[in-house]
Amino acid sequence: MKILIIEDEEALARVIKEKFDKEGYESVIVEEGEEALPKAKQFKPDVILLDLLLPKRNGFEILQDLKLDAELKTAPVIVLSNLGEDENIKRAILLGAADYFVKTQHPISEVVEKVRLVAERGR
Amino acid sequence: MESGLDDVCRQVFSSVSDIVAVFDTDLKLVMMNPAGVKIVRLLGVKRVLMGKRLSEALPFIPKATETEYRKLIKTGKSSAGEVIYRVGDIARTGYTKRIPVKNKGRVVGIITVIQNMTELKKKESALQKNVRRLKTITFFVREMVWESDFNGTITYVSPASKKIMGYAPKEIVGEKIYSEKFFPDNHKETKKIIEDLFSKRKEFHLLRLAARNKAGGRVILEVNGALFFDEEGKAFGYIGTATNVTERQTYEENLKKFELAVESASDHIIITDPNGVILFANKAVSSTTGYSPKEIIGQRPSLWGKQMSPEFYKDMWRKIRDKKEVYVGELTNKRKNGELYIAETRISPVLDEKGEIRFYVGIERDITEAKAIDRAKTEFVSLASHQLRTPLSIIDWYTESLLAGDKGPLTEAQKGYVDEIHKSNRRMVDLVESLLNATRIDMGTLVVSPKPVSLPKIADIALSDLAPQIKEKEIFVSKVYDEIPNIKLDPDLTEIIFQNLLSNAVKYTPKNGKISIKIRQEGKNIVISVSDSGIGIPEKQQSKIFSKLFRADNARIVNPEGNGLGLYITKAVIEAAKGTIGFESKEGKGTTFTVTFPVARSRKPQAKKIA
Repeated sequence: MKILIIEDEEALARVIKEKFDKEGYESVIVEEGEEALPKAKQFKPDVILLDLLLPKRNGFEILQDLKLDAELKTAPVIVLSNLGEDENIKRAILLGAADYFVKTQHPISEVVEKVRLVAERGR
Repeated sequence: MESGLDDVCRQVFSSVSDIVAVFDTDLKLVMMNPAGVKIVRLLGVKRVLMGKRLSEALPFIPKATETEYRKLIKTGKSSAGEVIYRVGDIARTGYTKRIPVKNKGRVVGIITVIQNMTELKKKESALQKNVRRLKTITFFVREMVWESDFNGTITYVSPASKKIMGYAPKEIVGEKIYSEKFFPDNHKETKKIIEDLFSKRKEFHLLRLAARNKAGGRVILEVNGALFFDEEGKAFGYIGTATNVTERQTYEENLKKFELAVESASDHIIITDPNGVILFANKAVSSTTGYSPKEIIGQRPSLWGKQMSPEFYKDMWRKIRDKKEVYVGELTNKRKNGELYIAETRISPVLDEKGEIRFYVGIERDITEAKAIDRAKTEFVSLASHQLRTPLSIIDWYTESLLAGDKGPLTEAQKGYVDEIHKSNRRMVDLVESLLNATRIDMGTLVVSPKPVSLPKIADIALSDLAPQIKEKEIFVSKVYDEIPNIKLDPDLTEIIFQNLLSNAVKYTPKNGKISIKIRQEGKNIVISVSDSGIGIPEKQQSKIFSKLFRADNARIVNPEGNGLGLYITKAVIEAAKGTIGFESKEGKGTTFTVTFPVARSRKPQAKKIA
């Protein structure tokens, strides 16, 4: 299984990647908003983990792009963000996010579990 | 000698200006002096004939006078008296002296002298009338009329004293004007005022004195005084009036207070005519607009306004002029120095009895700074949520990863340490979330998005989150959920309510304690109750339990880590959903929190029965 991690905070991205490595998933990290779409096109992930506050291009825009891309629109996107306000969650769901996690609210094991569930459902 | 005397008599007789008439004992006229004849003619008697009887000779004399004459003939004693006689419609007063003419001890005739006293009498009666008038006036006027000597001793006071001061005149006369009896609070000052005034020996006007009446009530007197002169024109004291102006003074004082309040209010206040021309501006206008009240009066508020769109002002005028409603809003205005400021503005039309606009009252408060603080607060919230969450997540996930053995097994001691870090970090996460919620409540930005929720389901989620602690403390949990409809509440906020109430119950209930949750419907309300057999809330602190950052003394001991935000947030969240929260608690026994939500009216269309 292939997972694209779009996250500008290197330490966070690393610990998530290590968890996926341990699970035997193949994962790639993108730190810049601009690079997200080209990388996704090239990597063809099964699941995308998306941060919303990113340099240059924010997560909402990336989400919109992903959902407009014929190849990528089927890949479930799980938002993993610091933004906890209702309006942000609603907006992301409306744009097609499969789920939304506020970072501090969930242990990493839960995030990994969610990715697994979403990926299996997608198959 | 005899004839000489006779001559003198004749001369006197003919020269006196009064009527002198001689009658015989049959009361027939014997003689009358020329002046008498003249007067009698003037009085309407055409011809004065000797030998005429008294009633014919002097027809204007009342009949009763005749008896007087007869009495005199009998007794030989002279008499005198006033005689009022009428000529036409005019009453005249005469002074009559009747003298017997004797011959060898026998009365042979009567000399009568009638003095005209009409003018004298008129003057006297006018004087008496004046005295009566004065008496009546002093009796009826509301002002106290008073007199005193120069030492300030009251020598007279009119009966109005009873009404004004509660004292009858006799209770006042003899007292000093400034007596402690009337001025218990300010006797000394009043004494000085009166003494200074009286020593000048001049009249005085509108002197205000604060006295106390017999019952002790406050009476403000307005006193006037003029010098009082005796017959020789020497001043011997004062005469004056004292008016009760208590009500007027109170009114004036209130008006003054009102004026002062408006004048020195920290908010900018202006009054304009119906066209917006400024009639009044208080001092505070200079701190908002930069213009002095003088510069503003006569101008229009556009002097410092005109920063909003023309449509904005049109709408505003529509509201205050056409609808005659109060306008409340935030306007950007421009100070004299060109600086822009944000004014919280309230414009109220003041209507007359006919409902026409008389004035507008405009109140402005400069909220530029408050707005800036608000913005800073919002930025803080954003900073806290976005900047703090990242490092907290990193610590959370890395410690979690270490504890899971991702980087190799940890020794028990290492595990203990990392676990402490992990737990403390979780506390920090909770604190940040609570602070964020509290800030949202304070700023009024708590977003409530209600949707139908199942309260038992949310209660169970909260309970399952607490399962580890419940298990550890071996707490017995009982649940009684009635069958209730889903109600419209914000699911996230409802979760906060259950999380807080249940986690408190678990935290403050000792090992082997009991917790019970009941959810039931009572009429139009859903009632949630969470009871515990915990430490309870000290009675003295029960009133503060919902205050921000407040923690009960016993709660501090049992759980030093709490932040004092839980119940504050819970209450605010419940009230945002139109619910109420209350509790019953006994220290050492336990607490029951009761939350009530109204069930929204059912929108289900009723099936119509067709007969």
